[in-house]
Amino acid sequence: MLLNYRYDESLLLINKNLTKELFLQKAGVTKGYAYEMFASMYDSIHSELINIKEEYTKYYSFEYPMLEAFLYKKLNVKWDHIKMVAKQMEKNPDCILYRKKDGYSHGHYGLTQFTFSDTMYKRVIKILLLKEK
Amino acid sequence: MKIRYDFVTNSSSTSFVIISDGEFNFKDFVEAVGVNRNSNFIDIYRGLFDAFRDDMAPAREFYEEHYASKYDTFEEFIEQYLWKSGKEVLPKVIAAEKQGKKVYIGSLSSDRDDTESFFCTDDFIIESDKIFIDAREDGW
Repeated sequence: MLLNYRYDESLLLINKNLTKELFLQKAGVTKGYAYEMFASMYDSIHSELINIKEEYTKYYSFEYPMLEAFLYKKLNVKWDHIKMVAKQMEKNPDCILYRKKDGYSHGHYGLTQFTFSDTMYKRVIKILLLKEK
Repeated sequence: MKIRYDFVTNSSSTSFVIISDGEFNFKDFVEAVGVNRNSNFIDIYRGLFDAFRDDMAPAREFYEEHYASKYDTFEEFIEQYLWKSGKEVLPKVIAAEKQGKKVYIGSLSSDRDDTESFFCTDDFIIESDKIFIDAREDGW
């Protein structure tokens, strides 16, 4: 799940057991350009990710009584979206919720665009959640 | 003065050179690009292959037809038309021709679809025993 809550800022759910090797294996790339492309895609997805629960617990739990309040009041995530995220987290207990402050922090604008384009989105998300067999 | 109300976008194209030992085919391309045939993303590389195949033209014919008046020689054309990688690619092209390999030139466009648009903005080399593709002329 990727949810844009503000321009260039998004929430992203990723399985805690996902490694770069596993991502490449699930993508079915073995060498050469395809391997480099998907390795770069993995790096782009993981660039500057912030673990939201850790961030909340460490810096904001004294200020906001619940994670949901932090998402709503501090990050301005819409209430409907928070409910959607909670539902996704329940369905995917092995996943960690991250936020990305700059979607293009990796530096390859085209790759980031393509990773979550209509053509790629569902397939990439399946791998990130490790739903792909 | 004209005012345009709908989307205004920049389009781009990326030149490529393909050296192929024999016919340029999908089987050899898949092997060279490094993706499994049963990958869920095989269609992405099929799209790239099709984009290459649809636009590639024999390099010398392309030069004669479009650039002979601008560049004195084919060698000069390769060196300068491929402004990023031409100097590096030229010896490969000359050697390939001597070995009877086929040399093609063409360009990817950012205007067609998601897939070609992405590859157009990337710069890459695809290489195997049978195929060499240089698509580093990314103008972004």
